[in-house]
Amino acid sequence: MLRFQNSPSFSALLECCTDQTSPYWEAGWDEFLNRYKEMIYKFVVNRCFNWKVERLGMQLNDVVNDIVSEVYIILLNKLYTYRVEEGEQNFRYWLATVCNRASGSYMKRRSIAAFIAEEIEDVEKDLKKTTERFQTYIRTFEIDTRFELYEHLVLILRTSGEQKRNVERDIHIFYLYVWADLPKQIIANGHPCFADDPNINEGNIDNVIHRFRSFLRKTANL
Amino acid sequence: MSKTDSLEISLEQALALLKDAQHSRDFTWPQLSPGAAEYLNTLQERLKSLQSDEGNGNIFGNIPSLGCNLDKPYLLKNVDFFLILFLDNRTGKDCSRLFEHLNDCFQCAQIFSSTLRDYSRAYQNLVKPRESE
Repeated sequence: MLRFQNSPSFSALLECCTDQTSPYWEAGWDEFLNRYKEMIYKFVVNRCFNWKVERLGMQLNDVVNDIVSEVYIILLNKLYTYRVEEGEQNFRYWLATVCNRASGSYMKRRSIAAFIAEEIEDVEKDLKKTTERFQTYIRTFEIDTRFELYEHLVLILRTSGEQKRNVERDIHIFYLYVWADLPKQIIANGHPCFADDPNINEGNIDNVIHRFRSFLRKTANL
Repeated sequence: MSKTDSLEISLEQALALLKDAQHSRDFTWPQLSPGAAEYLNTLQERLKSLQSDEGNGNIFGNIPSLGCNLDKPYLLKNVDFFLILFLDNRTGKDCSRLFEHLNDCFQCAQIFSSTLRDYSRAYQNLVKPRESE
């Protein structure tokens, strides 16, 4: 492996790192990590604090290391998309965005998994326990983090294969019960869209929640 | 006879009272402060106006597609919407557009669930004492 004689400029460094045929490719990535590894860790740790990692029973260290590994893979594949003429100062913002997105993506996957992780033994008790745990978890988030998780959840549930006519209604029911902690009785009898609908009762609400939960389990490969 | 205290009432409490007045045979108006009574009267007049105007169908038609601007969610202080949703019984409601919007807009979903919760609690507080008499 060739080594640099002098510390390369920012543009030279990026050029080495984005050209696998360059004799300085490995040296380039060594230098890149020297310069930016600490910054990457800081960005990721900050995001992990926002997502309250410990609430999911995970070790901060393990999560940070997992996410940083994902960031490195992203950089390996996407560093070439950064326009060198934007300069090194702007590169820090770009890097922050990459780290934030990787952290968000990882935590969203794990948050959903936390809701569906346990096997259902006693159906009614288990569902109550997992929804309570999920509600406790999301209440610790800042509003923008909750926003992000909500969008992600809706996006996944929309791919569940249900008829479009029913999927939006059922996602709404899922939100009211699992997220907003509304009792089934209020959803079935107090909601103006459902009060006169014989298809929506407490039993059907249970079916909706279980169906989506199973779908989320399948999606998360659990 | 159910009573409310003489403080001003929220939109959700007012909706619950008006709903109870619509449905309950033995409904009597509780003691209300002048401010609360005036508010209820304003809502009733507004509802009549919305119902007499054919455009009330636009209440659902006007629901935005996709999410709302962060500083101006559609359901924030949207009294007309909640009046029609909770109190207009004339036609079946096609709520599909509402569901889609609430799924797209976290802010409106929060406003909606909070309103539904407070309305239901207020309604239960009206109905339960009567049922136990």
